[in-house]
Amino acid sequence: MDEVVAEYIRRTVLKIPRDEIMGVLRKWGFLSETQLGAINFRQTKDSISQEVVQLCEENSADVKQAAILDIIYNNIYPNKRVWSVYQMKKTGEETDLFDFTNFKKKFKRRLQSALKNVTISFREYEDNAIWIRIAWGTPYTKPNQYKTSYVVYHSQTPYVFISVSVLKSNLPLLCQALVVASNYHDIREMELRSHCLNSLKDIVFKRYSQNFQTHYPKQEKNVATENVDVRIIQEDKSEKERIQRVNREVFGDGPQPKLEFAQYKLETMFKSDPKMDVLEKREPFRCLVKFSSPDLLESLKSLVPAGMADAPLSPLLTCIPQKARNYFKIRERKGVLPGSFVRP
Amino acid sequence: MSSKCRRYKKRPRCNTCRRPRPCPSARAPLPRDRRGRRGRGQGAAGRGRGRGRGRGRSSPAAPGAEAEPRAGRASSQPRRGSPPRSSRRTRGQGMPRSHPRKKGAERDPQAANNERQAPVLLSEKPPEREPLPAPAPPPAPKMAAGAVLGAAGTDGTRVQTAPGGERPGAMEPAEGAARTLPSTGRVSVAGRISGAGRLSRGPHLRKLSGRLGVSPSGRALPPGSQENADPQKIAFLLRKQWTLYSVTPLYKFSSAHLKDYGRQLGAFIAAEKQKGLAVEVGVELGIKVAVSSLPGLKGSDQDHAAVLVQLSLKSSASQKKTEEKLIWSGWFCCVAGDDLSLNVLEDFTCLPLFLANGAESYTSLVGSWFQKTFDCCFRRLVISPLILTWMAALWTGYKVDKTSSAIELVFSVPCLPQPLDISYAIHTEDAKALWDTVQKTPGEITQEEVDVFMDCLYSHFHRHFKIHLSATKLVKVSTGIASAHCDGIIKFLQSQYIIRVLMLLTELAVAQIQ
Repeated sequence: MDEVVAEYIRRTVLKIPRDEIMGVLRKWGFLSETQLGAINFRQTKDSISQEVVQLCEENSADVKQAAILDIIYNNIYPNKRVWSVYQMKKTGEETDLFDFTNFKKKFKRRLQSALKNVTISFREYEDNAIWIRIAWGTPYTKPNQYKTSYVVYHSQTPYVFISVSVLKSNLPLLCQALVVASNYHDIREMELRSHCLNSLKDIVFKRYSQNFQTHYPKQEKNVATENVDVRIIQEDKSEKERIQRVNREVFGDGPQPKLEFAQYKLETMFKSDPKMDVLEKREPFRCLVKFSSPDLLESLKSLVPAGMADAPLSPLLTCIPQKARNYFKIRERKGVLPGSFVRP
Repeated sequence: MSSKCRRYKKRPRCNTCRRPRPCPSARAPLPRDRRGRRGRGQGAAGRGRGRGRGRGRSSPAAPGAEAEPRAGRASSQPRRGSPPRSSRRTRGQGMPRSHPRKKGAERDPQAANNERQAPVLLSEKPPEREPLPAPAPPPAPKMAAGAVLGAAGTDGTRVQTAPGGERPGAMEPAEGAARTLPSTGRVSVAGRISGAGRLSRGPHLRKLSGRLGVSPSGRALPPGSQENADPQKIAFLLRKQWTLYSVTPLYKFSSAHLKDYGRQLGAFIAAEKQKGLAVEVGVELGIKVAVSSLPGLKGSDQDHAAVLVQLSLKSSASQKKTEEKLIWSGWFCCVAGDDLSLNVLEDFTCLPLFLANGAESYTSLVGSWFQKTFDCCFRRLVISPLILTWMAALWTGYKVDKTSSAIELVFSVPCLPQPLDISYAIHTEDAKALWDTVQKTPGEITQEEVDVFMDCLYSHFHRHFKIHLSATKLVKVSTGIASAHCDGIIKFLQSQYIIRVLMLLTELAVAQIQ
């Protein structure tokens, strides 16, 4: 077995938390049950990985098998990478049935005609998701298994989730191959990026709880009256309730999809209070605002009840899930015009 | 220290600021019979944060939660040997509250004494501070001599920044918990308490704003200083992150003996390594210490020349050659520290600002050696949001040749279920244009102008996002000149303005010492 492959398998196994190693190896299916049973999981992860590599040697694993293991790992732990969302467009209404073999063939052919040294692996999952792993090389060197990109394509939808770690120059090539293989005409980036792949899927497939303008019945009110001291009177109870209601209308009731950042490039005019007698310029006041948080939408949702923002919160922030983007360019207009994004 | 102290029937008050003078019994070293009292006044469990008194808050939870911790404080505090008092106003611990006008020197050994007496838990950072955009400095290290080198506040004042007021005392868990609760239901935040513009002025800030009442072209720098700052020589200071400390005057420090100091410090570090107390082991031959003088960094002739300490790691790359890799640098400096040097006695050298770059363990080693040898006291210099807004306004006004970077303000909103960081970057030219229209009085910058400038930026933000930035905490300011973080971290980006930035930092350090 190739040294490179052995090292790669060893490193992939090292990344997996110890308790999950057995499950992942089982999913991989490359090692037999007896072999799996022979592994001693009570030792250090280093030793476990060495044992696994030895067993793989017995079965003569090659690059393809190692790539499948890597796909499985990334499928279970997708949140370690940053995913961007792309949307494909097709003109006309022909709905061909999706043929997986055809897709694979076309994709491989297209990609390898442009760049010979790539390793391409596919794996299909139950929710119609196809995972593609590409290890990039150059015209003169073999594919580097550590420089990989991943593509998740849901065949029934025009959306593709791509995680490109390095070698962004290969991105146009990848997009072209996708378009050709899936019989679409065009692909565009959706300005939506996050670590949490499931949240991206939720946003794009509209699976999160949307805000409906319904009237909630009165008994919906929370039972927040556990041990309230009668002597404490809340002065602005009605205001609080209004805020909660507005917040709920805007954000919906369920958990918000998990995004980490939102970026706004502002090019609006600076309007000052006339009595302050300051800047009156003709040109826009250029700013760049970035919001970042472990869970951005939840923290934005809690800004208003915390008193730091007015209710209702600005539509620039609340439209993130609906517009399915978190990079905006705001220009001076009657309303907001999210234009094409220019990354600084 | 309370009104019920038996020593005074009626508390004497300072004639200038009307604050009650500290009880002299608090200054004496811990006598055994008074331990109960002492524990009450300045216990290690540190109530010290005088948090309740500041009028400025930058977190909305605080005004709402203010009522509760106040009440909670009385009941939940473990007092030793005395019944809880409900309306006690706590003072910071350790340092006797001194009026800034008083002489610095005679107080300092005592102050240093007090700091050392009160065992201090340094490692707790206020929980709100957690998600910091800049790399957060590690918690203060344990010092060999038990002296203090840790987070400290710009005190003496009522300028309060975050609820985690930066005193070197551990936060009581009850208070901390009360404070990190999201607003307990009070939506109407009383006025939006501005962390930046509307803080009350303690004596420290009055002096500072008076001092800073200068035009952006800078205070009249003494004639010789600009040329002395040779750009080549100080180029190594640029683009590095320096952690700031304030240092009390050094006793019997002489610039003639720098080489001796280097040797002694080297021996000290080697000894510490033998003890196994410090740093990593490796295949190195040892640490070489170089103490030298940096000529160009002073504001006036009265200032002492800056002193640079560099630690390099000697390792044998090959048999003959030994490589030296610079692993840590630190330098003392004083730029226009007239306030301090005027009041100081002989034998004392004033170098109130200390900047360190490198591993925290080395900083503590070097700091403890200096503290032992020269009887001085190092404290982390903390920059309050108010000062950060001054820096933003001031540095926006400076002319920069290439408009490379933007003016970036980073705000942190910690008191939410999920902490939020907001970075607000404005194009340099637009910010400068705004500042130029705001700053009307020539040759002087006033607090009002800074307020107006910040309000304009806040209102522009509010127009778009409906978020009140004034209710958040400003933690970092970055311009093309320099960038400053509220934890006391600075980065110089232009050699042209390094003296002016040092001047401002020296003032902050001096204010913190006094």
